[in-house]
Amino acid sequence: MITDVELPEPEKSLPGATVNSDQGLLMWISSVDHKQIGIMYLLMALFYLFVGGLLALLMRVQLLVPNNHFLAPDAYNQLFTMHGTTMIFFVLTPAILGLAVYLVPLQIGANEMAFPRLNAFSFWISLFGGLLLYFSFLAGGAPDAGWFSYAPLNQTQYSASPGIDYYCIGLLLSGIGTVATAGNLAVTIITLRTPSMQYKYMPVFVWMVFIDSFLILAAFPSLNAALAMLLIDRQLDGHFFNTDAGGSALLWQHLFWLFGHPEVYIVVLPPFGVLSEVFQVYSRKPIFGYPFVVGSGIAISLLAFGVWVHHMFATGMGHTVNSFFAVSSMLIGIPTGVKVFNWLGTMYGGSIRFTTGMLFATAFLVEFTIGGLSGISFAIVPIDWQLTDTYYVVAHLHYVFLGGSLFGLFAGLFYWFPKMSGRMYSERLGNWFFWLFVIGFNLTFFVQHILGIIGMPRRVYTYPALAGYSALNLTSSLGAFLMGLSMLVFLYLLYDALKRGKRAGDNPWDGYTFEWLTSSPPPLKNFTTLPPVYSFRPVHDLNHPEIGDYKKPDEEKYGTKDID
Amino acid sequence: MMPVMHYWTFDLASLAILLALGLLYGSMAGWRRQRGAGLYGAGLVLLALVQFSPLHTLALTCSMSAHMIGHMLLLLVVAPLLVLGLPRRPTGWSATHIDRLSAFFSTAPWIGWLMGLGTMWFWHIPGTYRASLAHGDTGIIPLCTLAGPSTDWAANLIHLVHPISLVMAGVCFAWPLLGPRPSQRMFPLTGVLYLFTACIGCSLLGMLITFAPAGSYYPYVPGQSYYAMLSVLPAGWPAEPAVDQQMAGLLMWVPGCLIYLTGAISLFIHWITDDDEAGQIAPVH
Amino acid sequence: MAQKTLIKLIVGSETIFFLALLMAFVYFSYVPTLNPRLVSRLDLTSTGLFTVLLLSSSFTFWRAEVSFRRGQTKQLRLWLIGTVVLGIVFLFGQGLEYRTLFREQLTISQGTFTTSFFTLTGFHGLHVLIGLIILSIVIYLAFLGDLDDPDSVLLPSVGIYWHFVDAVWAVVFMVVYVLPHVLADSTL
Repeated sequence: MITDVELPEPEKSLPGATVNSDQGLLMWISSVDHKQIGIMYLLMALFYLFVGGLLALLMRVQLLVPNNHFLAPDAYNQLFTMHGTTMIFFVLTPAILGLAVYLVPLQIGANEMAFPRLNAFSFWISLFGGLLLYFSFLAGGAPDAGWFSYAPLNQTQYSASPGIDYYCIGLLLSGIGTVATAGNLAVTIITLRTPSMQYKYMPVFVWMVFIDSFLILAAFPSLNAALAMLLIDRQLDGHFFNTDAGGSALLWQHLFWLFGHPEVYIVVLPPFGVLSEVFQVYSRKPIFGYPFVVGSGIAISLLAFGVWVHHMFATGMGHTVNSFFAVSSMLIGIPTGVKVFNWLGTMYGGSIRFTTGMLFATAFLVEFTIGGLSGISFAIVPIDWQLTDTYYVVAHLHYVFLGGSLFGLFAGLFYWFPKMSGRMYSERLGNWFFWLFVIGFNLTFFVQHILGIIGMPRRVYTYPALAGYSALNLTSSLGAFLMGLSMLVFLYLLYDALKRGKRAGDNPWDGYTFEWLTSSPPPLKNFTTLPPVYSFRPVHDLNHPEIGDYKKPDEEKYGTKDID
Repeated sequence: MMPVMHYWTFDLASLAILLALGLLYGSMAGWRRQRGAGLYGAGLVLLALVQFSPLHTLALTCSMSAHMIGHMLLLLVVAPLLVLGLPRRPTGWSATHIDRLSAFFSTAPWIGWLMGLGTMWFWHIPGTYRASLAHGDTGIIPLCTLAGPSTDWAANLIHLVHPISLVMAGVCFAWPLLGPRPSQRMFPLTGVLYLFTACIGCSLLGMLITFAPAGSYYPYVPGQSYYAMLSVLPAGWPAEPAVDQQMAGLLMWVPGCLIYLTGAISLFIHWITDDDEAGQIAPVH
Repeated sequence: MAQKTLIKLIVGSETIFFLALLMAFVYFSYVPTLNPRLVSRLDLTSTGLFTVLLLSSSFTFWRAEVSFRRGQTKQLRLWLIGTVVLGIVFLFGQGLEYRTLFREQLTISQGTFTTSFFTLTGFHGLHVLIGLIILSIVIYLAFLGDLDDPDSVLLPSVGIYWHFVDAVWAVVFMVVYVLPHVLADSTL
């Protein structure tokens, strides 16, 4: 018998309780409510997704035919730099933070983040960091040295426009916001869990956000230090990375990839958590091997700091260094593979509902595995030397960032859309969006593997009419337009759902975690009472007391028991 | 068998240490075999291998990587095995000591952390590193000598202190995580953080050694090779000083980190699959 | 509780920031050989003196925390003011040192050594300055009587930050000022 316990009242009333919905835009701007900030984060990500996507489409127009003169070389340089920077720092990062900020307090049974005002501050400073980055277009030229801004190209003698200064300041500001949110999330999870929710009963998504917070706290300072040094180089005529004056280009690469490699896991771990929620609910089965899903998340985050040198195989550090990091990079495949098998095991024998969210989750398994395999191929040093700086890298990183992170985020977005908006979306439109997006995505990027293998270098504004180049690039561009089209369908889907969508109940998917216990959308105060937690599926235990997890032994609960 | 495998050494001091550790276990366990004795024994065997096997000869005479493997084994494998293998029901005098140590490390686990990291860093300051190696007095075969390959007693003392300090530091480092009093152990998630920060500290040192200019650590006189060790090395062995030093740094950086990581993961998995409501990890199997 | 946890996390994050700066400094000043400027141009004695002052500010802050726990408001204010004064004197010393270096044309754009030196010590100075601002606010609150409640977490949280700033300086001082002298002596 499960009985509710009263949630302890906070000592002070929740901030923002005096603001009400009559106040329109002011309610959003002045908000410190974690749900509103979460939604603003997501909207920010969506906005920049369209901006960054537009930049990508411009590039694909330029690459439509050989020897094209649609874009000048310097404009092309600015576009790919801004595209990469935007997508990583202003789409994926805010999107995962948005989901985390929205869902973590709900899933752990809290009414707010630990520091609501800090939460709002982090969001706004990230947003303004992005705006500042884009202001560079008006200030004399956007950054043009690639999203990783390699030295010495990032020095004034090679990039005289103020673009890279804006890059430094924009990323520093948003980096401060990201670190603050990460600290906020970690403290929220440590201190505000409902009393009966032990660590081992936390939803997988909360676990992944928890691990991710530490990853952010450990990785971002390295980027911030590098950016501060670069700014000193450019503004105060320092010599950190200026190779003409004794500086070191490799130092920049080390500092950048010490951040950059963990950053890949920073934007992929929370989607892993999202997928773990999506797979279990839509398969109507608890996640298979909960300890291993969480444990492999920890393993990935720890390994993240021991492999960054594989981004630098081509810098001539010698065979000894390269071989060690080749091996450690291959090791990353193990925990990632464990997770994939956990998800497959969750689906196995479940009664699966192929909603749009589940479609994205399933497609993730395929696309992310492709991205993972092409990643493993880079761990083999000779292959890396052959393929580095070709379109093969472009294909690989898009399969990881899009096929991995973004597919996971879309799965989560569709899964939690009824909760956030209180409306159901149209599955028909969802299906259209999914298939257009997936087909467009694979058309665009799969052929780029081949382009890379036949030697097309990345970051060059055009290409000669060599055999194979034209047809493959045309395919790739058409795929990109298809993705662009699918995003319009997505916008219409959102409009349609908000305008005409059916009212969603509190728990339309028969979900397992606490966010499904409150109304859709949740009120300002998320919960007044909560049932005690006996397993990592508290709402499932409540709704199905006859088969509640808490009655089962651990091995059955975690799905680690052999099935006869 | 490769010729290098013939170069076993044997010294009375190491034997004395091994005997002392064995006797210590016996008196703690009340001369009975308790659960975990196997782990303790494995630790002793590994310690003996580090001290007597060709690895030791290589480390003393020509290979910094071998030296590094020795360090890592002593600090990160031998010591945790010894701690894990300590008797669960210590008798007599040892019970109070174990209780006192456990209480101390549960209130100040950072001291264990600092001991582990500090000792590792200390032995890799170029000066102290040099002191822990073979010296100019060639011709002394360390067979049956008291301790170490030198005629100078101070150098021999360092040879004696070197492995002991590493094992001791490893014991201090492992105690808060794996100590014989499960109730006094660190909360496993804090333990993961403890290992992760230690891993960063070790990686930093590994990085420094890897990227330090060739020669900063290479005390073996070029062209001179004690016991002609270089000539017995298998073909393809990275014998050039620069590569050897890089490899030593990388060994600490990458596989060293993997040991911490394995520890963190096993700590976590033990804890989460355990039903014990106190939130502590399961008693060791 | 929450405040202290957050400060600890931020301090951990900052540690990595300083490690990055420190590694850059080591890279430029110790490799391939020790930069002779480290020994000849930096004044070990006077900086050592200011270092002692900064480190003793950790002691005064600790005393302030003790008086806070005992509810001795007067001593608390005095120890806090002492801490701030010591911090200001340290910053003043850093300013003096910078002025001497500038007079010798050792500016931030002079070479890789000065770039990394000024960045490392400058960022530390910035952290001291931030700490002083925070401490001034704490003193203001102490005079308003906000710190009379011994359960307040304000002072312990600020303490974590202040001790961290001091610890960073201890490491920076060792690497930038002391270690080069030791190494230079041992090679002579």
